[in-house]
Amino acid sequence: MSIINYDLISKCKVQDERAMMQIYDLYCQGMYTVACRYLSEEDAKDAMQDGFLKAFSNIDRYNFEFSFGAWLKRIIINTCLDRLKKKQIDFKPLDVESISKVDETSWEFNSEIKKEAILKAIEQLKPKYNIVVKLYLIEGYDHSEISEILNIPIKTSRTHLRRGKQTLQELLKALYNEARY
Amino acid sequence: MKQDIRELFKTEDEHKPLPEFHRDEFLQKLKKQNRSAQKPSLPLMKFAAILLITLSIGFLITKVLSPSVSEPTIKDQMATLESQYLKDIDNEWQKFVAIAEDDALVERFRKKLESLDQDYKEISKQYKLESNNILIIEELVNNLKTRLSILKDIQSQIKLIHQKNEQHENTI
Repeated sequence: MSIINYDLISKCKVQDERAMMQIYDLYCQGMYTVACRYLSEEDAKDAMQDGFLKAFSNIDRYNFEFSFGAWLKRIIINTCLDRLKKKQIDFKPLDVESISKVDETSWEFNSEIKKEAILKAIEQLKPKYNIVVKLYLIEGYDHSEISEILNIPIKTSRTHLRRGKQTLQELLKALYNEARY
Repeated sequence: MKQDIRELFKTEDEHKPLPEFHRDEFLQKLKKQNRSAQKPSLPLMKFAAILLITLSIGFLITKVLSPSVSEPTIKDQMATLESQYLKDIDNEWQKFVAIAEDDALVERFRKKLESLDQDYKEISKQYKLESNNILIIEELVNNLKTRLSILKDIQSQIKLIHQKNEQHENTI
């Protein structure tokens, strides 16, 4: 945590509006980018701004333990997911049918596959897998964090991720094969 | 060749361009939030208003009904009544003694009044314990009334006797 941030956040805690705007200016770009992964651009902007407002009104709870960016990002993501939940995405697991045992730690994909292609493929996943894959792969949260964010059991988070990854591999394999032939 | 795609996402994404005027929009939202944070919220104000009304109604009710609040007035009234009666009784006693010619009669009435006064002191002790008991207050007043009416009765009888005597004397 930089000294500038410490100073700004302390000012935010005493409701200094100018300090709040400075914090907004510092983080809005990054947070908007995060929000755009979950929502359309218009919704993402609103969710991002709502997230900032939530963060400022709860700034007393921020205790400098984590970086402010990580704390803020968590709030922004929660705000985005709340909006998605309103659109009734069900994060509950399907019956535990034939889950093929895939090595959970392996994210080895063909090296010719580009990041853009992966992002595109992620968007094709069912919403509940899509979110878990994004939280894990892009935001870098682990399963206990994902289970907290989505309010689902860790086991469900693992199941969703495994399915998401499987589907992703299939989608990308097809794409790769098409490109090849 | 294989790659761990998690590595791909460890680098920062290109930033999405923010919509125009997002900053002004946010500033408006922030000002609105800070304004409403300074003012007590509407539900809170409603709660406070209801609490205030309830308290004042409760206060009024206790003021009207509560014995502890109305107690001094009853006590005051009782004290005034008592001193007025005792003054009257004393006056009547003096008049009675003045017109009564029979010492035995005076002595009989003195004892009667003393016994009533003794009763009165007993009832007064109860009155101090239950100063709102209307029955006790009634007993006290009745006691004083009795004393007064006894004295008046005996005087009117004495006067009647005197008148008869005078008439008798005149006829003779």
